[in-house]
Amino acid sequence: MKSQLYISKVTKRNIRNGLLFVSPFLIGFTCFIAYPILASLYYSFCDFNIFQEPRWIGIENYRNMLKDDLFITSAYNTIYYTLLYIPFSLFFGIGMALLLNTKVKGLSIYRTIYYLPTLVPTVAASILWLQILDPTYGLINNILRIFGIYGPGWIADPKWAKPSLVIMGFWGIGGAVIIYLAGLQDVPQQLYEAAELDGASSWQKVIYITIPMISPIILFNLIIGIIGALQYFTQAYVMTSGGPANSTLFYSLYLFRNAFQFFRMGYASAMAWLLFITTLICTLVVLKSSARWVYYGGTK
Amino acid sequence: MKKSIGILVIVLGIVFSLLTTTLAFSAEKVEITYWGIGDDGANIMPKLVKRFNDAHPNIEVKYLIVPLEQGTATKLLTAIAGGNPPDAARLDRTMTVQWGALGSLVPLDEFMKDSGVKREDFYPRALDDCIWNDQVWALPVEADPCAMLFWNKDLFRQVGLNPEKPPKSIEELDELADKLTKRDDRGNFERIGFAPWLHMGFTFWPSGWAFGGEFYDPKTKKVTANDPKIVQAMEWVLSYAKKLDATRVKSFAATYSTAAAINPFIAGRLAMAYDGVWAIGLLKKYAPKLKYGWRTVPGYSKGGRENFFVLGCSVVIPKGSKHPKEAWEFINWLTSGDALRDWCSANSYLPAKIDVADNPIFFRNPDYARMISIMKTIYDSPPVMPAIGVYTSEIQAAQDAVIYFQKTPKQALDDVTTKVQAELNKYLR
Repeated sequence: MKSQLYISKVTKRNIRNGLLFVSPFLIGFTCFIAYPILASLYYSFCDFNIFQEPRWIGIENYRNMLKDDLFITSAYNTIYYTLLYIPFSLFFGIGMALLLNTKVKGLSIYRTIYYLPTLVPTVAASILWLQILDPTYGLINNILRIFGIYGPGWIADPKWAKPSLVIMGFWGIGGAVIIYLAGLQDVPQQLYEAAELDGASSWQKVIYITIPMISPIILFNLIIGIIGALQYFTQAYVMTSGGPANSTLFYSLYLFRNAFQFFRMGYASAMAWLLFITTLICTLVVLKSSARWVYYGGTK
Repeated sequence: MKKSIGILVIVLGIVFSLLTTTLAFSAEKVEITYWGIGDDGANIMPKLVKRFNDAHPNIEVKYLIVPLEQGTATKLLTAIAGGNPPDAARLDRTMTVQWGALGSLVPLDEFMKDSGVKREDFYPRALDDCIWNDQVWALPVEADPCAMLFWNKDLFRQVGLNPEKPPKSIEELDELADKLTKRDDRGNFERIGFAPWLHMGFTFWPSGWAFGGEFYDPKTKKVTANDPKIVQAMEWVLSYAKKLDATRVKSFAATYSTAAAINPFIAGRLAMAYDGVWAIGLLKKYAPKLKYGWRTVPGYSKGGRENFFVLGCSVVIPKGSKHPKEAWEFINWLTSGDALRDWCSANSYLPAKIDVADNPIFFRNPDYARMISIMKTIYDSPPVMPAIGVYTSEIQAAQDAVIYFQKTPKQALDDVTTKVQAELNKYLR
């Protein structure tokens, strides 16, 4: 009994030293991360224009969100983008990784080329893609014209603006591809050889061996992808300012506008917390479902 | 223990000595910071700041260029909220009343009285843009005409119209626009006569004013976006959207943007357009052979009026500035006399102070001379009220919704009125 309550001097000193070493991080975290987050939770229940004292209004901000048609538009736009982008990004990401895993000449050159776009800063890429997506002089429509197809207005057309942004997103898929590639290296060769002996086709090998073996990586990219898509901001801010006709007014962009253009800090904080809870729920749902389709190789 | 006390003493010693040295310096000169938000890098401002510093030995102005944002000024906002603002800053005039009403700026009436600056020294509407609750929140710097009706004389001649006779009314504008629009056999546009939402038309204000509408009633403090005349203006915009198909027009014009090098008017593809004083410089640079003319925006003959949309920037003293008196010295100097004259002539702006505008430098240029004389009687600017941030955003979205056939004009404008009024009421509480 005595030995359970007794903490030795050495242990006490170790704890103290450990805490001292971590203290800069703890202080920084508390002041710059935890406090602002908790403060924004408080502000989400207030009417706050940043220059005057916040005024407590309970859940009115949250109630107003449902009545605000721009809020509904921004939520719709964000969900639309997420649902359109994520499945295709998984498909293209894995497909590209499989292709970049074949033994062809100049493989490292191909891998470098497909990874390079991720190094371009987002703002620079946005301005570049404004040119590419231009309806009259842009690259895409000019190439389509060679085949006699008159391309749509892309970024200038309310119906095509979001799909254009999705297409632009595929350009930067190299980051996820590298992670898939790393996972592909870990798939044991014997499995493929055993499957060939049993007469499996290439497609069957992919479905029954490759995908299950890299499913933890797919899970990771899926969650990261969802979190990123729900927070989509920079490209819309730089390229379209939410237009045309609010078709690219994404949730984060509307949040930013509410905070800094309309001085509705309380409302913006409420939007931020709603986004946080939504992202949390999505992540939990994906994680819960992962028990069914993610295979962690190993001794079991 | 002894070691940690030793370290503490040394650190405190260094901090103390640093503090005393900076205190010693500050006793001699008052240092103030000025943020030129949106200033061009290779500009005349550094020279002006030096001129001020040399002429005022007890004040030193530190000048910082801050990038311009659309509709927001986040850096300034966070600086004021954080209690660490610059002593003076340049701010878009349409934002000053909102910021003033929120209590983030220092009112300037006392300073103006002490320095003998009278409200009448400025173009009436230029200063009005900065007044809320009968307090002056900013000093206007420039008066930029930003939506005049430009017309391409060459294109007029091509279709057999008199190049020296621009449309005198909205009805005439419509007629000429039809004559000037040309499509190819596939139905795409080779040339568009006019589209009210292009170039500066995206703001919608000039169209509303052309039909005699007022967007806000300062006496009753009511937002009047759904005034019948403004609804009529929006119906007029819709008629163009139906005639031309907004998506096709946006694709046609999307290649160009209003502030960048080329735009459809400069490229000779748009015969008439709302554009600003900067277009004159751009035309000279990129299409020197294009013969054009400009005039005030014509009015609708039944109850409308011609209008002249003028914007500009102003200088403000943020709340929390530690040296408001010295800041006032600087901004008063900057917005008068030689400093204002040099700033404006270097940037092709027009000054907002009447006595500075009455200068041969500006009259030498026939365009500027015309603008200055027009501004004495016709001067329009967006509603002066604190909810202007929301109003600007909502009215643009309303025009977009109408031209893409998502809302009817009355519906769109009713929505704007309800929303903006709700926002304004918060400030009137």
